[in-house]
Amino acid sequence: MRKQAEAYLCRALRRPDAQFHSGQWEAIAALLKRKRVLVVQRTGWGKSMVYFLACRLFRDQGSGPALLISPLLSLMRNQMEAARRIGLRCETINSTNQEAWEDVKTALEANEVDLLIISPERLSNTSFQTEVLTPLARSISFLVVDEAHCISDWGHDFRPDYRRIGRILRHMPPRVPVLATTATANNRVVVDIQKQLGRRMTLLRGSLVRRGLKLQNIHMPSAAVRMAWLATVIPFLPGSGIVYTLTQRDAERIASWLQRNGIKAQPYHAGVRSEGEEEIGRREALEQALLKNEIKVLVATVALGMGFDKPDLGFVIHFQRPASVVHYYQQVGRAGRALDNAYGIMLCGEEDGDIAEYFRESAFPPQKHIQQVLTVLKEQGSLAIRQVQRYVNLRFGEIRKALRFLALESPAPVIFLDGKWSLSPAGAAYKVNSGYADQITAQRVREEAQMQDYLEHKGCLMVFLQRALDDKPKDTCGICKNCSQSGLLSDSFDPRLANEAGIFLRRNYQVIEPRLVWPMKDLFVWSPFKGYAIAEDLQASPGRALSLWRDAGWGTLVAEGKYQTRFFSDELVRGCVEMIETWAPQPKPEWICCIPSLRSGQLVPDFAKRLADALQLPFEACLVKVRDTPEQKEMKNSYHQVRNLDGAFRIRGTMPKGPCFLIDDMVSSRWTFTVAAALLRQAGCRNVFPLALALNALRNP
Amino acid sequence: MSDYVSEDTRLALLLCAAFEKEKSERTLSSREYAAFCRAMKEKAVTASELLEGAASDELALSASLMPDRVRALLDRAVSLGFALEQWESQGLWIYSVADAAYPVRYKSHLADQAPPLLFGAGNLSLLEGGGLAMVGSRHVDPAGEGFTREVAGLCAEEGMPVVSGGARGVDQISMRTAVEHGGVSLGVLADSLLKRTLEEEARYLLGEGRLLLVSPFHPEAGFTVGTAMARNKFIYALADYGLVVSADHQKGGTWAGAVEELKRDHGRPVFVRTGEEVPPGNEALQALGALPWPTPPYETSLMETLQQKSEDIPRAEQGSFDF
Repeated sequence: MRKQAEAYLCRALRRPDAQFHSGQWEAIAALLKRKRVLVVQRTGWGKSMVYFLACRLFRDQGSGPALLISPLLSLMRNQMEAARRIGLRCETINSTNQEAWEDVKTALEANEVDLLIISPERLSNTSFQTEVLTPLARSISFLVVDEAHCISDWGHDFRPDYRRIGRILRHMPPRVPVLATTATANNRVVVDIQKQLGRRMTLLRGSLVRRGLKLQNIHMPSAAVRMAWLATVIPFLPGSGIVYTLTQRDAERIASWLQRNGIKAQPYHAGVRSEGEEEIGRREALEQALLKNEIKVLVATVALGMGFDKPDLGFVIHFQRPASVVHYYQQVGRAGRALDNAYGIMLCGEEDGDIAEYFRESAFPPQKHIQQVLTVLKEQGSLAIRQVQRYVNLRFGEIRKALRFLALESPAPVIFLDGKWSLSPAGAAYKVNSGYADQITAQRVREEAQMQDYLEHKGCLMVFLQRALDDKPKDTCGICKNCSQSGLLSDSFDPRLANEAGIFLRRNYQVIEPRLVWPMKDLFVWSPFKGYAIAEDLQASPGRALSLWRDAGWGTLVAEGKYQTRFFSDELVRGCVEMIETWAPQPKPEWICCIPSLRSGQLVPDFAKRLADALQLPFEACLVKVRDTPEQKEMKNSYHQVRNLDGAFRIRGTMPKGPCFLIDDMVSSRWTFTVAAALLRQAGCRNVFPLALALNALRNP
Repeated sequence: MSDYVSEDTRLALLLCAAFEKEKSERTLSSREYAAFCRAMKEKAVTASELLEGAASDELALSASLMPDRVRALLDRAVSLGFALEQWESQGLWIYSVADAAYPVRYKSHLADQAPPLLFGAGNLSLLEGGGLAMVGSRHVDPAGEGFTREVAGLCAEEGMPVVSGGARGVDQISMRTAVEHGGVSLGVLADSLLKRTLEEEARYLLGEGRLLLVSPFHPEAGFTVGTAMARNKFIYALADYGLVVSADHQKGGTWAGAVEELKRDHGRPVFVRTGEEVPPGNEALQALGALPWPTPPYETSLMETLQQKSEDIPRAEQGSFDF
């Protein structure tokens, strides 16, 4: 059998002298004996070759196809070719290729597919599971779970979807061979995976050391300084690489900053999209561009990760401190696998702790939200999320998060059936296991502390990473910042460039997209708006916000004006004038009005008047507040936000009919702008351009 | 491996359960499954050996089954993992004939026709069964409705469970009345088990332990005439006595189910509502051997009255289904 496997290996790699890496054949042999195997090997070791060859040999014996659960949406092209060379047909089923499902199903039924690939998040969709997956899985004879550390609660990358995979594995009769693979798992994670795979699991573990990767940490608190440093250093780094940021917003901003500085950079995160293209397609295209060195750098969030395989990646730079050593190793370990000299640089900034805390705190839905959602379902019966909004003052996302969390419990207190959420019999007695969430949160705090230790570590950095991952280092690496002084990157930066980066950060204008539909049909009682869609002649035009709330640019100044000095400074007026110059809305606004407030009094009107003077436009206080309402920021979802505005404003006196700016200090849900603009337009105003000082948006990875 | 279900049940699921709402494999029937179990016993092969990958061809042949078919069913192990995870999180339990919790009444009364698997929710101690099975029809006249309430209320007072099918009409009226009077009821469902557990009233009673819902079919199976018909015998078999409130003549599930039970060797005693306002089916059933429902007041308890009335009918023999 081994001979046969080696012959396939040579064919797959197109090298007549190809040999197994240590551990590869052992893994295949164990699988052929129907065992369960956990392989912990660094990226690039050849985990995919193990499941390709095992799959090939199983198929030769007449067994059914293999199922691969992987967060990677498609295998890399070179992997696909290797699979094809040994005659394997691989197919994917995911949310973006729904039109192909039927064909895949037919091919599976005809026993023509050898390897079926699905993504873990598909598993949280229960109807997908019953209607698509279960029938497809009928003949599957062998299971592969990629990035298996995620099935451990102690995995650094704990993902709710993987909770389900762990349980599925425990339910599967031992006759199914299972291969679990990961590049990073400390002992604790291994033990946890073992619990789900069964006692007789075979563990194959390799060394994590990475020769040729030069690790260096550079301390630079200011974001502008780090950006200046990136713009200076990146052009001199070998080949192409990745800059990791913690948020999508930072990925976008830094990519555009680097572009301005003549560097071929592109943002990459879970939300990248380009017109006429599916999100997944866009991500694949970006990965391909980096693989082919068509771009110098991808500025990416953790979304670029698992399985991305580019042996000649020249550098990985962290703009902010990642959440744990395991995250860090996974990301930095992508650099220079086939190079003698590659860079792994960590910059750390003043904002790191805050961001980490935000992610940590928002990992689990708060107990209060869970209780509220359960109460609504108990009192109101089965509801769609949209309907739940009506009864609880929680954001749509918060409701969804609470429901998803509950649905992954077992037995689940809520069940999603026929498009609606219902309380289950287990729901009445359900108690949130806060100990569980607390445990994981505490674990994350420890992991962050360890990351901080890494930053301050005086010994060999590679050894630190290996030890943290329960690998046994034989020797120091000899090339990291603490081992050798040669070939280090300078931590100096160009102050002029840093200043420019500061200005760039300030010019962080945000588009305020107009809302097109009301949250619910015929929602208004007092205001004269009907139906579900917002009529075209009532819509606002796209607006702008000067900054992001409390960001490094204008954001801080806005916060100061709002809560401390109770006065928006003239600097902000100048900022807005400058923004309007670059924005140049058409048709050109001819007058200015603002959102009135009984609470904050003259704060916004006063600013609007000064802005009107600076733009030499008339200010008209034609919108008045006729009803005192609770603060809009207390309203957490669309339903409550719009209900709170119903009948709150009125048009007073006559007003000009030409295009206007509509000013407010903060914009978050956009409903205030939407309702006020609809009133203005109904009174005959041709165009309404919303303008806010700050956009309060939530952070996403 | 998880201990959510027993090894025997795991095997029974592989061989007999549809993992999809619409049955698409040729899963084993109750009789085929019973034959396969006998073959396992004969050859001393255990469920856990089969789950670990032991060969099944010989067993299949000795149970007169096609080896390919059995192998294909056993190969559904991955699907089984997916399905079990889902059923567990939905709060359902699953038992097969070899489990201690599986109702003895089914094994002794139905023999090879006993459903290999039972999916259910609610108070497990009720699964033992007993009491009165109340059936038919969906569209019941006011007299029939009043009668149903009266009998179900009496059952509750005497501590007799009410067993029914959970359909509209007599089924639901009898089950609801029983619990309203502080009794318990058992619903033997032909479809939509999962959905029923989520209905507000059922959810509350399941939580209280006063209701048991059970089905031999996929928890999300839709309604079909075939499964509804097949289910009738499972209602009778779980109770001690049957009572037909209203039956059409020569048509409908109530009629067919009652006739099936009357023809069964050692079937459950079937009573039928009598009087001037009953549908023609009721009278016809009496001609086929159904007993007239005794009119109160009873000298002793309802339970004893029913026992006395049915004494001249031969009782079911025990233990014809051997594991």
